Amino acid sequence: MADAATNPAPAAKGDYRLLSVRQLMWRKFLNNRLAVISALVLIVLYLATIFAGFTAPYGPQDGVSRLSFAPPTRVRFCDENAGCSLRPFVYATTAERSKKTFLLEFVEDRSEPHYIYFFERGAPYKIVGLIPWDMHLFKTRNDDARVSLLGHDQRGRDLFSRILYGGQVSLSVGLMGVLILVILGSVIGTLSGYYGGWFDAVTQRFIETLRVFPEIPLWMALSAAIPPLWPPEWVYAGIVVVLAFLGWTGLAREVRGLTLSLKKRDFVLAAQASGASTGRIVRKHLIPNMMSHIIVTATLAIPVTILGESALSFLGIGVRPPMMSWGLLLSDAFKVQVIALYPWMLAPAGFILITVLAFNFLGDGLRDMVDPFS
Amino acid sequence: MTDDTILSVADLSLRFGAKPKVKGSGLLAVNKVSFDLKQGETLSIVGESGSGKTTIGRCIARLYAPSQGSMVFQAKDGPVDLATLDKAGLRKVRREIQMLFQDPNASLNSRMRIGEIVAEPLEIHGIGTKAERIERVRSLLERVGLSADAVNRYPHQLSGGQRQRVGIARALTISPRLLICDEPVSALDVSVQAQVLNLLGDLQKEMGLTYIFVSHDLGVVDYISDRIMVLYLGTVMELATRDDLFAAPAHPYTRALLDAMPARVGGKHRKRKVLSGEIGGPSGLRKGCVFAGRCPFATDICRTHEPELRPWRRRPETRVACHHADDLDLGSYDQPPPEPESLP
Repeated sequence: MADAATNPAPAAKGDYRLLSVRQLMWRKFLNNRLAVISALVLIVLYLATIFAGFTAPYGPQDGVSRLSFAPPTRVRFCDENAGCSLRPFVYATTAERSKKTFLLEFVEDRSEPHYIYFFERGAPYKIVGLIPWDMHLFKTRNDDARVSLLGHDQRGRDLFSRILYGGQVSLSVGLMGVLILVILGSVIGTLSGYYGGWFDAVTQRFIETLRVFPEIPLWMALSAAIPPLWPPEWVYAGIVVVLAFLGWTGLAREVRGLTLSLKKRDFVLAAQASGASTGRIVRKHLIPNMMSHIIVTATLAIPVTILGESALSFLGIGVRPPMMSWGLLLSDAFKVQVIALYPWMLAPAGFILITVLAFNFLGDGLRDMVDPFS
Repeated sequence: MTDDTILSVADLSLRFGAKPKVKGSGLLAVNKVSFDLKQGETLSIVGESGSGKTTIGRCIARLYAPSQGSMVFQAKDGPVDLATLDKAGLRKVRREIQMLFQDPNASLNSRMRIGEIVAEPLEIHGIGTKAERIERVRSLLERVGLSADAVNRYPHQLSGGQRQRVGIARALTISPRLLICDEPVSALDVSVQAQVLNLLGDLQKEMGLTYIFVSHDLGVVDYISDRIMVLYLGTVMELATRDDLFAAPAHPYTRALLDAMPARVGGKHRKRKVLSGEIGGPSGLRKGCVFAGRCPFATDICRTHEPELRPWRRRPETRVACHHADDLDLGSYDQPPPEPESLP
């Protein structure tokens, strides 16, 4: 790097330019295709669930009993009578008792195509629970011919809509849990590493004690302790706390190690020699240098939390109806018969899988990005 | 202690990891070091790795709290003992004592812009308004030879020499009176070393700075110092003016250090003796002269009694810690000593 600071002229001309750390990091991130795709997938998922009222064609409790366990409706473009059109349509579904198996069988009523309209008014809802609206991304104009991308559950509710609503819990549990986990982990880790001594010894032993327990049984024990009579919102908060309570230990250790190494570095000594307070050193020197690691750890902790919530809800000790989450939706597919006869009931698992994978890929990408000079 | 003494260190000791009840436990990094520092002079501390030279510097900057001894500093508001100063007093006196570090890569926070780094001491002490700080930073950066638009750069965008200049600018923002330079040029290229040393020299004259210059490089020390303190295992071996030390070293260890210097290009090929052995462990209890194990002139008394730092008979302003100093002729930098006869 020839005397760039003493000779600033070429930089102004734009012949070459020195990239800032942030630009270097951004480049590194964009080079990782998988991470970029994952980030986009996650953005779409989060937006779709936050605005579930808009993206879901039907309400989460909006069931039609005659459509109990009805399979996904096929979205078609060509009709025998009306011909083909670019606008997709569905046929109405009618249930008939099979004379051979005595099972309900669903057949399409091909007499009339029901076109799917986008940005269509329908059942009212509240955006993020605040602003009332009734616009839906897509639906048919006839409520007897419902478009159901992922089939119906036992009470004839549209699974796709329910997954979107359930995602509100599943996806936010990850973020909220990780928020608590990051705050707890980084504060305790920094204090432990910076001050050392008895505080360090006590917290480290405490962390070791916590980590000795296998995760799932401890989660189960803790969430079983949440009173069953609590309102659903409280239960939700309780689950978040339970999940974060066990997750912070890993981050706390990582942050402690980083603090131990950073506090001996010359730039921290220089700040000390200038009379900087502990708070200032932590704020200006330690945290910014640890931030990238914290972000990576947090990103990788989100899927763990999501899986934890799903596991608890699946086992019936997580969130309870009328709230729903992907784990809870999956618990409907608990029985082998259900899976055998109505395989679409497993769809929530697909969403969990995609989310967890995407977070892991994103975390990997961020990890590469953290060290842009390598 | 004369009127222009800025710092008077007496009996400074530092023991790392000492257990309170075990005598001689831990690691004695600094052993009863005493010296006076005059306003405007440059005192170099030289020694091998592990001799405690950096530790002394960090004690004076109070990055380490000494176990023993006093360090009386003539602050603007009157003398204070750095060794026993409380937090508030320390904060105040830190405005007058600053530090320059060895490795400019490690001493600049890579997440901060140059401007923020240089302005940090001003912010810590709440000096000036934001505009004044920016102005001060710009003028200082220019003074140390960087362009003012370096303020928006990050350390990794600068070269090693430029980074060390940033380090100098940071140390000088709050106009300290004492600058502790901890091997400031040993991580730099030789050509850049000279530039930085010249800059330090110029700044000293301009601002009336006093330097404590820690180094292992006698060539650099020869260039910049007024006086030189030779350290071995945390103990002062010799304290002399630069010219005296190079003209006639009083201590066998100083002689050994001079012998270890590479010959200057075009200089005379010197006959030299290379010290054998390694620097010993600076562990707790010890007896006799710390250098006795490697000293070619050591006798029984050296192994049993620790020599005191006392004026040398041949040159009383030089102080030396050696039982035999008065009887030895160690030659000079260019002149090898005569073959040692057996001592009486």
